[in-house]
Amino acid sequence: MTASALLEVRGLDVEFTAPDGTLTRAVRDVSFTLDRGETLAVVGESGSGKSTTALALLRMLPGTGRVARGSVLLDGQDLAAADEAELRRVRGARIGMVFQDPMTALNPVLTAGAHLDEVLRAHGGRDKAARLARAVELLDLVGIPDPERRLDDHPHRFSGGQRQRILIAMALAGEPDVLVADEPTTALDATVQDQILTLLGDLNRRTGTALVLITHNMGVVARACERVLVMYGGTVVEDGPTAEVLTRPRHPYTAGLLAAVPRLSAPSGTRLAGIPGAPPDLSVLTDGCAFADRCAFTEDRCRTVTPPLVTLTTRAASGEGTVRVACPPATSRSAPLPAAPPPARIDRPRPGAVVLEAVGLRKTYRGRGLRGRPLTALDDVSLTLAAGETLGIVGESGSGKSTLARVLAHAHPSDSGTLRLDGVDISRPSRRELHTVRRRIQMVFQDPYASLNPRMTAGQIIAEPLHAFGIGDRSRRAQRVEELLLLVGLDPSAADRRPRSFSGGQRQRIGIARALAPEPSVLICDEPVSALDVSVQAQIVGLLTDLQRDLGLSLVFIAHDLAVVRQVSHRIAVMHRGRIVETGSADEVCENPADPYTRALLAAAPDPVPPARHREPRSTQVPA
Amino acid sequence: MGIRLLRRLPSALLVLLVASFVIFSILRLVPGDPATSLAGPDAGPETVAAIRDRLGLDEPLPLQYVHWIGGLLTGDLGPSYAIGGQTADLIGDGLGATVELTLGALLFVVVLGTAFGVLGATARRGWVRATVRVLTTGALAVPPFVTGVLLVLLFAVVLKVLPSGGRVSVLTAPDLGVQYLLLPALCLALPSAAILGRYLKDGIERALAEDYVRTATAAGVHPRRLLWRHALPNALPPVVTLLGMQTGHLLGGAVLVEAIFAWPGLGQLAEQGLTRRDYPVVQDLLLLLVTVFVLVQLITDLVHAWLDPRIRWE
Repeated sequence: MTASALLEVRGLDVEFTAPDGTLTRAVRDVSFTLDRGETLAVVGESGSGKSTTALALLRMLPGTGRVARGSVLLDGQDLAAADEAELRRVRGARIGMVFQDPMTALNPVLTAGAHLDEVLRAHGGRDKAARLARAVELLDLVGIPDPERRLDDHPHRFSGGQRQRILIAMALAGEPDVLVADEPTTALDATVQDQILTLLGDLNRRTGTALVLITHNMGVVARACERVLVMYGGTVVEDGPTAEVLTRPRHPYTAGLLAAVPRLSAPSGTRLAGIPGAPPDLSVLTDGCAFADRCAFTEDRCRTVTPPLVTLTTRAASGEGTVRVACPPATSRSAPLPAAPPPARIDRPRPGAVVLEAVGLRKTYRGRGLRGRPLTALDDVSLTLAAGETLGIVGESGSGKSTLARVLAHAHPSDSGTLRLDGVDISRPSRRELHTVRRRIQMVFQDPYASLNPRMTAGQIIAEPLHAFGIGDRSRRAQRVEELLLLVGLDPSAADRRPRSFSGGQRQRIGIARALAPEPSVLICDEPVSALDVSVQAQIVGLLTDLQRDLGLSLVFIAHDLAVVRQVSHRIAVMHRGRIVETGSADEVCENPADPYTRALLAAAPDPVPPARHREPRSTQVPA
Repeated sequence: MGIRLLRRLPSALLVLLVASFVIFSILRLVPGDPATSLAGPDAGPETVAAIRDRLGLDEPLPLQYVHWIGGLLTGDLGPSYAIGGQTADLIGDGLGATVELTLGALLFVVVLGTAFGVLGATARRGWVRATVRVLTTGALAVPPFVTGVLLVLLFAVVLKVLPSGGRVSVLTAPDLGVQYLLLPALCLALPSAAILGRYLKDGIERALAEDYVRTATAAGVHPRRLLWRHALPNALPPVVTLLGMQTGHLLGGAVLVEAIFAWPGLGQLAEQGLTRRDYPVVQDLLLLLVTVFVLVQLITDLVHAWLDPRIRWE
C-alpha cells in the first residue's frame, strides 16, 4: 500500500499446463503487501492457491507452473522477472522458507550441521569455523538442546518438532527479512504445534523478521498473526487485521469457514456447520466469483463479474484499520454479515446395551534392528461401546489409537486381553467366527486418497465387501450399491466413475459406503476427517452422525482434534503412550479434565476465538 | 561396522556350504565319467578302473566330498585330472588376468554408468538426454560378442590405435598393459554400465523431486550442489546394490570376452575343465566364483550402511 512496503505482490497470476494442454489458473490476480516485521497469515482450504502463492514468491513452482502475469517486488526488485542467479541470492538470504512436512523436508543423509552449513555456504560464508559456530548459534536460537553435540546427528535422530525447528533454523540462517512458513505445524501434534508457533512469534519479535504463515487452520491464524489474507479458488477474498476478520468476517466464505471450525467450547451433540458444495475446478473457471456456487448471498452480478477487492475502513476497538473484501454484495451492505444461526443439535437416541467390550488389551511391537527396544502400543486397554453410542478416542501420534482401531477390527491380533462382541468372546476367533466378526465390525480409514484402489470404480469398491462376504447375487448387489450411494449422499450414477474423479469429501463418502455395505453394527473410524478441509469435514461428520441415528450404529471415532471429537462423541477416552489415561462423558472430559495429559491437550488446542491472543511465550509440557 | 560384518558372517558361510554341495552334486549328475574320458575311447575296463582308483573316484561320494572340502581348508587343492599340473597353479595363473579384466570393467561401469545417469537425469538440452537414451539402449541390447568384434574392427583394424587381443599385465608394464586392457574391459562393461546408468538416472530424478531438495533450493543452494551433495547420495544405495550384483555378472561375462580378445584368464581354464571333465578344476573355479560373489555382497552391505545413516543406526 505504501512505497515502504517490504514485499509487494501485484496482480500475480500462476498457471499450470496439464499434459493434455488444459490450462489451470491456480492463482488469479493476487495482490498484497507485507511490511517489515509484520506477521501475515494466508489462510484457505486445499486448492485455494495459498501454497502456490508462497512458492511463486521465490519462483519455485513445481512442474509446469509459471508466473504468467504480475510482479513480486522485494524492496523494489521484481522477483517475477529476476534471473536464476538473482533468485538464488534472494532465496535463503532475504526470504527464508519453511515447509510443511518436517519428516521429508530434511535430507536423510545429511546431518543437522550439514543442513545449516549448506545455507551458510550458499550465502558466502567462507570461513568453515565461523560457519560451524553460527550453526551452533542457530540451533540454540530455535531451542534445540545441547546444540554442539546435536550438530552431527542425522534427521532421523530428531523428533518431528525438532526437525521443524531445524528447518526454521535453516530458513533463518541467512538472516532473511521475510520468513515464509507453509503449513509449518500441520504434520505436528497439538502440543508441539503450540511450541512451534510460540517459537515463530518469539523469533518475529526478537529478530524483526516478517512472517508469512500459510495455513488452513483458523486457530493457528488467531494464535500467530496480526493480519490475515483469506484465499479461495486462487483469489484473495478478504484481507485485514486478524481480530477484525475473525470476529466480523465480511466475505461469506470467511464467515462460512469460521462457522465450520469446530469449537472446543461447543458441547457434545452440537452439529458442525459446513459449507455446502465443493471447491471450484480451477481449470474451467470463468468470470464471476469463485464462491458463487456455494454462497447463500449470491446475486446475479456475482456470476458475471469477477469481484474486485474493495478497501473499507473499519473502526474496531483497537483503532482505525482497513479491510479489503472481494464481494460486491458485502461491500455495498453497511452492516456486517448476519450472525450465523446458533448451531443445531444432533438429534440422537440414548445409547443401548453394550455391543463391544475390550478388557485388558495388550499389543507390543518387536523392536527393529540391533538397538531396537520393543514398543508397547497398547498397555492394558479396556473399554465398552454401547449400541448407538459414539466413543471418541483422542491422543497424539504414537499414543496407540490406530493400533487400538486395528485390534478392535481384528486387523491385528492383540497379544493378550479379551474382546467381546454382544457378550461372545471373540479374542481368538476361529476362521468362521472371524468372518462374522469382520462383517459386524467395519473400518473407515483416514486417507480417502490412498484407501481407495484407483483402478476400481466406485461401484466395484462398494461392492467389494458384498463379494467378500458372499452377500446377494449380481443384480441384488448392484441394487445395494445404488442404495448405499444414496445413503452417503452421492448420485447413483457415480458408481461407474473411478476415485480420481471425486473430491476428497466424496471419496470419504465412498469409503463410508464401502464400510456400510455388509450392514455392520460397529463402525471404527480412524481419523476419518483429518485429511479433509474444514468446510467438508462438517459434511462428513454430519453424515456419520445421521447414519448412526438411522442405522443404530455404534461408532468408535478416533481423532487428534479434540473439538471434533467432543461434538460427535457421547464419551471420550484419552490415550497416552498406549494407555487410556481418562474416560468420561465428552463434556465432562473437556470441561473438567482429571488427567494432567488431558489438560495439556486441551491447553494446546488452538481456537479461533478469542482471536489474536498475544500470549506470553510459554511452553506446553507433556507430562512424561 | 564390525558388528554388522559379524552378523552377516553365518549366513555367508552357509551360502558357501550349500554352494559347495550343489556344485559337487551337479558335476556328478552330469552324464559322462572323467575316468572314461581320460582313458580314451580304446581303453579296456581295467585301465578305466585303474584311473578311477588313482583319482579316488571309486570312493563313496560323501567321502569324495569330504576330501575335497578338507583339501580346500588345508590349502591343498590337489592335482587336476586332465589338464595337467596342480589345480592351485592353474587357477593362480588365470586369476590375475581375470581379476584385472573385471576390475578394469568395473571402473568403466562406474564411470560410464555415472555419466549416463547424471546426464540422462539432468542434461538441460533434450538432444543430450535423447543421445544418452539411445546409447544406453544400444549398450544393453547389443551382446558383448558383437560389440567386441565392432570394437576390434574400429580401434584395431581401422584406426590401428589399440591391439586386437592378448594381454600384458598392468602391474608389470602399466602403459602397455592399459592398451591391451581397454577394449576387453569396455566390451565387458557396456551392458552393466547401461543398467547402472538407467537406475542412477531414475534415482537422481526421484531424489531431485524430493522435499529436501526443495528445502535446499529455497535456501539458495546452487543447482550443481543440489545434484552432487543433496540428490546423488540419496540415489546411490540402490545403485550400489545393483553394482554388487553386476560384479558377479562381470565375472561370468569375462569367460566370453576372454575368448574374443584371447585374454588368458579363468574363462579359458573353465572351458577346458568342463569339456574334459576335470572335476577338481571346475569345482574349485565355481566355488571361487561363489566366494567372490558372497564377498562382494558383504562389501555392498557395508557400503550401504556407510551411505545411509538410517541403516547405520539400526
